[in-house]
Amino acid sequence: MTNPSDLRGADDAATLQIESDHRANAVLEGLPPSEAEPPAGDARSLESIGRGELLRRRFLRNPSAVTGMVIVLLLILAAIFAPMLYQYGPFERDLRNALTGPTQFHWFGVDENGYDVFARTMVGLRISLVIGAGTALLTTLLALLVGTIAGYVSYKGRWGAFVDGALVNLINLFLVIPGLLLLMLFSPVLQQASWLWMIPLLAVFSWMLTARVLRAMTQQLVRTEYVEASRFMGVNPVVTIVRHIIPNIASWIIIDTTLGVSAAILGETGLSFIGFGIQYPNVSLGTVLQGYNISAPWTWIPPAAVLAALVISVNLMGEALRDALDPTSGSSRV
Amino acid sequence: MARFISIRVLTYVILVFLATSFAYLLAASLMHPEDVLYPPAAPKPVPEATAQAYMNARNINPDVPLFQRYANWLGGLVRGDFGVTTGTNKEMRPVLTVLSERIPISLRLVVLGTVIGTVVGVVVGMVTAVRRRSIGDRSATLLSFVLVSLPTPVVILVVQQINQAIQNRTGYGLPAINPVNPLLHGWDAFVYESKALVMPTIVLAVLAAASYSRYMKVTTLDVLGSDYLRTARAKGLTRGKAMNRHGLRMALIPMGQYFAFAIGAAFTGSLFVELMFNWQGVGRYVISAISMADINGTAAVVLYTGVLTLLSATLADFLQGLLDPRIR
Repeated sequence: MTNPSDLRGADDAATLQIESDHRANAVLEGLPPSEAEPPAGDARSLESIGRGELLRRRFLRNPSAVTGMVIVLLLILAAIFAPMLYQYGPFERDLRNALTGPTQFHWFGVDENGYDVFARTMVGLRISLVIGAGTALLTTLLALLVGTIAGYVSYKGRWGAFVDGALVNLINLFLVIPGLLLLMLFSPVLQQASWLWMIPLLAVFSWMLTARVLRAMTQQLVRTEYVEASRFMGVNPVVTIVRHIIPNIASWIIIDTTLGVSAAILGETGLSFIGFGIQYPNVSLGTVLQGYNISAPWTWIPPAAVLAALVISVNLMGEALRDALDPTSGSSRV
Repeated sequence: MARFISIRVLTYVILVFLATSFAYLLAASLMHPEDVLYPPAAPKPVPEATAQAYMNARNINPDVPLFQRYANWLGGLVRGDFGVTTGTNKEMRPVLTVLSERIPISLRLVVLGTVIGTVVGVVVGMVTAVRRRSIGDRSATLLSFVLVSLPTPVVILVVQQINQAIQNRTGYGLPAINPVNPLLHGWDAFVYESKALVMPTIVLAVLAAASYSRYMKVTTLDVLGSDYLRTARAKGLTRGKAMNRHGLRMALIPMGQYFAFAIGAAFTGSLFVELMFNWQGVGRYVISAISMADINGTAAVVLYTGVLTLLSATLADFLQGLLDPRIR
């Protein structure tokens, strides 16, 4: 059993070190001062590292995380600026040069319809990035809503168990429904509306597994003493969830959102590739891949490489984040 | 055990029924197959009685309430009648006939790919976990990481491009597209079909193996740190023997839950494979059904995928019961 007075924070440790200064202590005075000399700067700032700072250091120590971050940043910059600076647009036809390889005018070559592959890839990257980020955020929000509510009410009597059972069956129902087919069903509706509708549509069919995990985590947290205490004090359940449960599962939510970005990009690419996603007035990476031609590899390798670089680096960041947040992984040195 | 499995199966049947009903209602309210009667450049309109008869024969009449049409469809479903194809194709074939032609084509792809992929994934995952931090482990982990990050069409394109490059270099290669060659008969046709099956199966197996090996590595690492395996080693078993006799079974138990959804994933994968290798299977049928506003066909394919998921989930439960004596 831990005695509360034994618990010392990093601040206490810092004060302790300042107080046990060698020159002030008569017993230790004889020792050479160089070893005991406290390093330059305030001892307090050295000793107490916040959680955010700790995670930042662990994350930046991981070379693959830094590589992933740099690649993602470069791709975002390219997606913003390349379509502004490049001389061709995604739907400008250059039929005289159709199916020619990379040249100084068409950087990635031209496909069989006379479209410039570089222009299409960069504009497609824009839309894929927006859809990826938006879908991941919305998916997490949906999963958080369903998962925490199902987990929180599951111990609250018969009605709680009923609501929990209904939500779990809802999750299972969405897992059985073939999401890709229903997304294809919505395609004609999507064509008449803005392409941004793709984000909620993709999110509705991809929140289930996250919600399952969040429900299990919430169930464990609901049984802890501090959540029980807040319940007995009459705190509103919503406040309890926001203040006590979500901060405890936040690390998992961050990781899952990061990995959700790549999942959403892959889903959107697949849908657009079959011809049911982003269509004519807009271009996504899946639409660019659709114009593949095996005898002219430059029609598909550049968009595929950009897509692979994006998804792999996002996944690298997600895994590095998981390592940084997981105290049992190897990276938990300060 | 019997009670456990029967309750599970009942739950799955209800879920599949709800999913199919949802898909039918969604398809019936979003698609307009009756539009084919009002083409933009018609010399004169179709007579009202003809139009009504056309729509009633296909159960797509918009004048009939949606739930009435749903009840008609459900009544047919109970009798084993899936309705007829609708939409821009006026052929009106029974959906059941179409599916029975196409399911064997898809299913050999899905089953072969999933089985090979699962076995390879489990073996690779276990070996990489046991020989952790070896060169083989590092390269296998990197490869599976890259494969999981690639969309299915890109994996297919890479395989096709490699085949094309080999064919350009040596003159020998696998058939690029088409599962059958109508010009060949007898033994030659069999050889051609077997060769044509290679590339699609490689794609599906590699995709399944990549994700399975990742899960299997994690569960095996959990098992390797356990007390009972240390006890098995302490009583004198070699590492391989201890792993085969005690570790493998425990590591496979959590994998059952992933397997339940593997067939669904394999269906999605086979959709791309059928599209890009020009196989006339269920995946290709559903793409054309949705783009042609074929309500009955779409609902039937959703039912088919639901039944596949149901079967694989039941199989997963059964295997789990077999492996884990605590459930029995």
